[in-house]
Order: sequence, then structure tokens, then C-alpha cells
Amino acid sequence: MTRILRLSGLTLAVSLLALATSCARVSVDPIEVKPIHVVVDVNVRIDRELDEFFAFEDKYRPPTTQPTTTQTASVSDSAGK
Amino acid sequence: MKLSITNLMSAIVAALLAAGLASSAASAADKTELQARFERRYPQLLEYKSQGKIGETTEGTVEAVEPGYLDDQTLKNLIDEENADRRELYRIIAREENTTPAKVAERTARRNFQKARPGEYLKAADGTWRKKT
Repeated sequence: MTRILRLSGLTLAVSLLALATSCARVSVDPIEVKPIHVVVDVNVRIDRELDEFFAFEDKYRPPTTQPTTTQTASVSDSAGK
Repeated sequence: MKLSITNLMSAIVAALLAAGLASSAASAADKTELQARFERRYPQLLEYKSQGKIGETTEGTVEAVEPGYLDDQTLKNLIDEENADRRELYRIIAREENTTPAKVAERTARRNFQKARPGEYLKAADGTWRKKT
């Protein structure tokens, strides 16, 4: 009987310990990303404004979308105009 | 009395709104005028850039690649006018985007470095001129 009681006590203790361990929570503070987001947002807005403002440049010099060797040719072409 | 305070507050709000609208309208007009000036100068600026006489800097301005080039009065005037208008543009965009003119200048420099063609000169942050390859 004593043995059964001791065994039950031990089982209970182990169960409680397991329960306590499984219930442990790790709380992590939320990572603050807002400032980075704001900076990126400002950069994007400025870039958009600049692209709109200087859109006329493409009339005089088309944007570079070709390989470097071809770009060189297009520079000399536009310089020769 | 209560009515007159309400009227006064309405008048203040209306005045503030009107001032805001007037300011943004003035800003738009300034930008249109600035844009026209930039466009008028642009072909000549391109010409000097392709000749290697004018280059872009990390401060969002243009400079003569060699001091001797400033003997050319046309080139000097072009640089002065271009930089004056750029500073004005940076102020306007900074006001619109709630940031600083330095930030706008930095983004402009970045843009101009990316858009520069091979053979054009770019002034690095250490003050040295490098030819874009």
C-alpha cells in the first residue's frame, strides 16, 4: 500500500513537472519594423516624384535596357545628334 | 456669442484650407516652371556630359570635371543655373514628402549615377572623378 502511495506520489510529481514545463511560454517582444518601413516608403515616394519630374529626359535619351556594348553605341549616337 | 465663436472657428479653418490649397497650387506652378527650365537646358547638359566636361556628384549637383572647363562661360552658367534649380526642386519635393532637401538630393544623385551612360564622369564621395564603364 505504501509502495502504491509512493508510486502515485512520484507519478503525480512527474506529471506536475511535465505539465509545468509544457505550459512554459516564451514571450518575445514584437520586432519594431515601422521606422525601416517609413524610410523605404519615403525613398519610394521621392523616386517616383523624381521619375515623374524628369520623364522628359527619355525623349532626349532613351532609358538603358540593352547590354553595355550597345549602350556605348547609343551614347555616341545621341552625342552626335 | 456662441454663434460668433463658431463663425470665427469656421473662418480660421477656411483660411487654413485656403492657405494650404494656395500653397500646393503655387508648388505645382513652381514645379512646372522648373521642369520647363530643366528641359530647355537638358540637351546642352547632355552634350557637355558626353564631352566629359560636366559630371554628376554624390550631392545631387553637377560640376565641371576640371576647373579649367569653367573658363567656358556657357558651361559655367549652365552649371550654376542647373544647380540653383536642382536645389529649388529638392526643397519643393522635400516639403511635399515631409522630408529633407538633403534626402531628396541623395536620391537624385543615386538616380543620376544609375542613369549615367558609359564614358560620363561621376564624382565619388571622396572627391575623385571616375569615368563610368
